[in-house]
Amino acid sequence: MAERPPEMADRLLVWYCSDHYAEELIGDLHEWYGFNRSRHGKTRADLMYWSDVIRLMTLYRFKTYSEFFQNSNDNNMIKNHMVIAWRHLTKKKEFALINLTGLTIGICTSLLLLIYAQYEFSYDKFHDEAASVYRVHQDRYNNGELATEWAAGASAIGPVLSDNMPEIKEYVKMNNITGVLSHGEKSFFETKGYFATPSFFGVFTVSVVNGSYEQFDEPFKIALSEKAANKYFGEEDAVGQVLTFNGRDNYDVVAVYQDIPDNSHFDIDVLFSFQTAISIMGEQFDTEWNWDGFYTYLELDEGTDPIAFEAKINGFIEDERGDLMRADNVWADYSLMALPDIHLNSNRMMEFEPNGNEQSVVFLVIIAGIILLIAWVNYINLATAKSLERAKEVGIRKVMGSQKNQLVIQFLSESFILNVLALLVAILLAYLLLPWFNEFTGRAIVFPFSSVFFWWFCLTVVLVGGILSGIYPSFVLSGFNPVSVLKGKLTGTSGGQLMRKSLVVFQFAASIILLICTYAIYSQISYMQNEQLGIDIDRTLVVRGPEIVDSTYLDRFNGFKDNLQKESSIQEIASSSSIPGERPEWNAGGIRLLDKPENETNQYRIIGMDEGYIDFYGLEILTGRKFSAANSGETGNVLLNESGARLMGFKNYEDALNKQILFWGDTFNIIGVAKDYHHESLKQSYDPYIFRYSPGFRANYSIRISSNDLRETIDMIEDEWNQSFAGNPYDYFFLDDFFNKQYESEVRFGNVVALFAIVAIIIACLGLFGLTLFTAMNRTREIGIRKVLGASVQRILLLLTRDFSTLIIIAAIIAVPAAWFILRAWLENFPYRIELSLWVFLVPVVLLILISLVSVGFHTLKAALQPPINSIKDE
Amino acid sequence: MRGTNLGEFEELVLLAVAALEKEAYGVSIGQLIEDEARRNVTISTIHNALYRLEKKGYLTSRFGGATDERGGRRKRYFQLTEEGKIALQESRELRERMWQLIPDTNG
Repeated sequence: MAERPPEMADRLLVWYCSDHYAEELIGDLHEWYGFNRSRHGKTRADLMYWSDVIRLMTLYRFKTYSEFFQNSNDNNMIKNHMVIAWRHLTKKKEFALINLTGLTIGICTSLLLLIYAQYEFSYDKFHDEAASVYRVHQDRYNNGELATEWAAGASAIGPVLSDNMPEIKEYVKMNNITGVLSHGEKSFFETKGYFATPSFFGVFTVSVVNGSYEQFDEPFKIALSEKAANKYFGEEDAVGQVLTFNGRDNYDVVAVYQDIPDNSHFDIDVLFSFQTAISIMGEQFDTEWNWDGFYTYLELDEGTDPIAFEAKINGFIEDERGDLMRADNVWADYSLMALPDIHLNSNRMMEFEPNGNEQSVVFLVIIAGIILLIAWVNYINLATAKSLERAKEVGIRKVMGSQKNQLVIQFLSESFILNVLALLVAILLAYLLLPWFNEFTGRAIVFPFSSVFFWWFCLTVVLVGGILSGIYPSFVLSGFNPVSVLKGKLTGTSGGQLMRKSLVVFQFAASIILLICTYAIYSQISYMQNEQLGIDIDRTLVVRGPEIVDSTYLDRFNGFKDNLQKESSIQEIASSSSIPGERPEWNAGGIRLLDKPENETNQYRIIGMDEGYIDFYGLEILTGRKFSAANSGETGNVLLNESGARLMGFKNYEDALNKQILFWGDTFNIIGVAKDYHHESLKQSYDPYIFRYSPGFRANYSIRISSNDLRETIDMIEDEWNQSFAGNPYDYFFLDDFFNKQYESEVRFGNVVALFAIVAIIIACLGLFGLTLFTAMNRTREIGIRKVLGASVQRILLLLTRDFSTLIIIAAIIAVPAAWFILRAWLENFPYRIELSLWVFLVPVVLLILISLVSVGFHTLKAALQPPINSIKDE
Repeated sequence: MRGTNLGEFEELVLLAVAALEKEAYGVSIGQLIEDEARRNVTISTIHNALYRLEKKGYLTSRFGGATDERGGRRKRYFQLTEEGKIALQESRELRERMWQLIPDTNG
């Protein structure tokens, strides 16, 4: 027959089809193919042939199990490999267990880490338009120097750009608003409330589940998340209901939207219609260039190049506002950040929530890889070390006619089996550990069984792991010369030794680096937490000030304060616009000394405070005086901190006294300069501050408690609160906790690195343990003979541990400089940081040497203490 | 009444086996049906039908000797069993009875 049907199809048929049917079928198929070929041509005939072969795949034509496995020698061998692999695993249980534990821990940890990393990278990708939405970032300059970097821009930027740039499909503008919402008896203090334009629902993929946002362009409309709606209305239908804001304005609930997913850079409970803000605060809510704090998102036309567009924006700003800004010696630059990049790349003023850091996520992915590598290295090491024991088996197999590649396949299948087993256990373990891991990382990750990434991970582990960890041992083993092996002449090759040693060095170097990093990160955190802040935040309870107030507020506050100060459990009380542990929201530009020209203005952070604040927190006054309630006209006075005074241009702080400053059209008199203190965490340098006098400032009440019975005191304050500020929720926290929250991300990062350092060490030590077990076993007779000839136990111990100690020391020599480079880069992020002293490096190295000596010691000691007669009498 | 439920295609295959007498094997059956019924069949359909009919007991099969044709691969020849003949007969009788029931349209 000249025309041959597709060969692959024939092979498929022969592979699956039982011999009872194959012959006649192929005969008939070929004949039929001849007809089809002459009738329909090659392509169609081939296609029909394939279709026939596939349609003939019915159950009864399949080979039976025994047909499959008895027919060819290859199949036979695979079965044999499995059996032998299994026997080896069960025969040497210790080794199998060490191998399996190491691999499992390694795979499990790296799986968890990668799940976490994938989650971090998944932020904001759920928005359908994620690829074409950008947030406008604003950098403000004073006198040519970068002053503030905003996540939220000026109020005019969104509307003006949208009017002038055809590339902008839509813009979303948002502005934070906090206050008390109430429905009947239920009131809650809402911090995650935002004014937003109706475009919010079109640009972001946040679906409305009840009601509609059609009316959202009118004032006094509100949209609630499902969570919030449930809080106020329970089972009732929220749409059509009314909520009261700060006891003043009524809002109609027009829509309920799906809770915003956790992997979003914002979490919003309540949306207020943007028109409300405009109707209350006027048009400048949409037109002001010097009013910052407006989140602006642009949805661009598809195919718009963000970089070119960014340049176009700045060009436009230059044309429109360049001269104006230059006259004041200020500047504002705008940049765009893609929506999905925000979570890991943006760390600016007024972020919705603290964002992640791409660097640390990448770092964790690298750690995940290293841990997986360490685990595989263990396998390689143990398998090669054990090769001596299996030399006889290899010899016999070779004599019986095994090809080298058959042997390679045999040992590869062993590593495959082990990797698959470890993977299964690791997945189960990771699944069980995920809730705990979530607590650890502060995320709410669901196990991604259905994600493509997860299956890729499994496939990669099995394939790469199986091949990577199996290939070297299998080539070593299959390379043995059968004659010398069977004569029993085999000794470890020096090449193999070197390989094994360098693998151990790699493992320990990685462990040491992780350990040093852990130690340094913890040192840095504890340094930041224990460093003098320059203020006293102990025993301080902070109560968020009331939002629902009327003209009697100041009297009520004074009554509240007086009543509390009469109590013996309360030491003092102060009110202020901002408390330590947060960045003051009040940031004001355009401030200058009265006698300076108009273009020499600067930005300062402002804290409004009553006369108690300075004493309460123990601020040190360097010159001048603090505020006093007794002075009339005190509201026209301000204090500066040192950085503020320097920015104002005073080298000598005394010179600042009684100078006038111009602050948004009013003049203020400087009455003193306070020493710089850490209002924010030590992750920030000192900022220039202006302290303004404002009795009974409504934002925060700081209360210092002298009683030890906290519960009772807190309840007592609540009673007073309810008397003075009925209808306002009582919301309090302890300032030291609040302050330390700023270090949360560092503490978390430290914990994660610590965890993985421990895992890496466990795996590396498991490997070491296995290797010593092996050496001790192999050298039993040598040890016996040495002891007979008079060697002491100490000498033997030294002999056995010398090799490993050398390796660890080499590892340390490699690891220390590497760790130094990594840490130096990490510490750059902190203006106040620890010195990288010798201890940072020495302590982890010594610790690791001790740990590894313990793991080596057990077997070594056992071998060294054994009476020689036991080992020599063998054979 | 096991086996009276002959499918249309199955009936065609059975008839082809009967017609071809000793020369009935997959390819010849397929060709006959193609020629007579003027429709395209695939060899897998024929084989699957043959297998079902053999299972139902209407056909038996035997291997022919090796020949020089088609690379020496043997053919499986099919033959009607008694049940097969009865089934065909019954099916034909059923059809004829049904025809009788149709009123004569011409008058």
